[in-house]
Amino acid sequence: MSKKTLTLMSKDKQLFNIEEHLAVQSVTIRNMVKEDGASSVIPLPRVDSETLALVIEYLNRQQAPEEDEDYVKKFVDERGEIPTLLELAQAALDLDIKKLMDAACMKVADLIKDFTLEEVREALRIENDRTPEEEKAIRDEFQWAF
Amino acid sequence: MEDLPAELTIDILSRLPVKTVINCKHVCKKWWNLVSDILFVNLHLSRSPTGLIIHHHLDICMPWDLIFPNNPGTLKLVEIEDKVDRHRLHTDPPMSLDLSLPPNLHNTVIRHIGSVNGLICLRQSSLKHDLYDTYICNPVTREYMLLPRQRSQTHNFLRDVYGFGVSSLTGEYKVIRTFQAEVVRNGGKPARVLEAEVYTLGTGQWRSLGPVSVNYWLDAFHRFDGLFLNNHCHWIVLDVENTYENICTFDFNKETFQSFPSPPFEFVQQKRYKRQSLAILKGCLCKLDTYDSELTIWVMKEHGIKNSWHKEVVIRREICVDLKWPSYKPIHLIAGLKDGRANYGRRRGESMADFLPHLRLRTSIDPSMEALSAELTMDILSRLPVKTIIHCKRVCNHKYYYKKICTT
Repeated sequence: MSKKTLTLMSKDKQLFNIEEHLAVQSVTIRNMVKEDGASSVIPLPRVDSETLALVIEYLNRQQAPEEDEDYVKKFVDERGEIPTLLELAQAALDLDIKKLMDAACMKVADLIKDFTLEEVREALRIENDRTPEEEKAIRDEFQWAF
Repeated sequence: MEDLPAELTIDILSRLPVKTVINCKHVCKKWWNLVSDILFVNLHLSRSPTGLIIHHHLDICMPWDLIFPNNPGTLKLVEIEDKVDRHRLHTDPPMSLDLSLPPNLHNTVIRHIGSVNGLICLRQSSLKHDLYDTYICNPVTREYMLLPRQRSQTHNFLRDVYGFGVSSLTGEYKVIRTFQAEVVRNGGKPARVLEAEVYTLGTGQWRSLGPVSVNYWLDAFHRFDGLFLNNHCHWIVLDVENTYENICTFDFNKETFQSFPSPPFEFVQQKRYKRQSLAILKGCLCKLDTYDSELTIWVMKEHGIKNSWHKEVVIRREICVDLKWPSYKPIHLIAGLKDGRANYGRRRGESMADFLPHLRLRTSIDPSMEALSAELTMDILSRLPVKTIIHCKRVCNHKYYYKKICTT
């Protein structure tokens, strides 16, 4: 008897097949399967194909439960680029795969923990939304704390 | 990444050390608000390692420095690393707060009252300026709150004690103050009255609890602020009825005082009491009795159960030759690390040692400990989760909030 397969579709319309019993590690997918049997394609409109491929690689892992923690850690360590990790964390959040999200967030935190303010902004591509005057006011207020 | 959802951002930020969090607050307005979010506060608190806050004030050497102080000192946060294979204090402080920078703290004495969930309660006094103020401070967000002055200030400051804690039922943070006054009734002899008042953060005023029902007096010699554990503040008090029970507690839920079981009384000849103090060791209440010749540490295994007091360790003075024996200043237990060492520091911390429970003083003190002792005159606030993020906004929303200590 062949195992049941689900099809996931990424933001850029690529299709990925995965065995159902592996896919249901994602709470989101598990709920969808429960609700309507998920016979058709499951669209994931916020996950791009590169990230989805990573998620599928993670879901397909064949690890004994006791080695799982190390595996997840190694898995995110090997993808040590902040943008990739953020995409991965985002996908894990949407798909509700807790271990993967925890590990990805932890890795990002580890990477940025020694960054300066400017480096954090750059790494996460966040725009400073304060005017130089506001910035100065806050700096002045908090200068004693640094 | 601007579309990174708040949930994910909070999750990542909550895994950062305090120092980075302070930095990250300034990244953008969104992050500023996220760090103030109660979801972030709770998550960060649950993920932060235990730490210590050390009040470092080198200038106070002589009694008159208390009256004419030069410098309120610096607060330093020290993280405790207590893993299976590593036990040490990170003495390169993750952060420090120089209390002499804010102008309104100049030339005053700052005394710690206690800390809960990373919030610190500080008492500021200056006899010269007749100034007594209480602050609640969040060293992580660098936010301070000035509490209103008490209804009845006592000038005899030896006779009031404080406690800082949180109610497990309502989550409200409270500062409790008991004070002793002399009242003349109907022209008769002055009578001593012990009263209490409480300040619940967010209410904006002190509320009188009336006379304290437990029969005890504040002990001018063992005056120290309440130790918060298990929803209660604990004080050592004067044993009026000679029952050898000299601990009193305040329940932060019921707002009542009770007497509390002390360790069994031991009469030991040729031992002179020098000092008693309370501390927390491995989550248990412990009492430290310092004598001329030795130091005894009692631990209460089960909170509130008299029979659970047991003598954890006795340290004889002769084994601590290189340790300046504590005199009238209390000893504060800092931490019992998992490898069996207990670390302690003294208020005037010229020396600091760690010792093994089986009474052998370690001759090679961890270099980091030595650095700490040489460098710091320390005043241990308490064991404190360094993560230390509790946002005051939730609990206090009145005009005193965000009182800025620093006005540049």
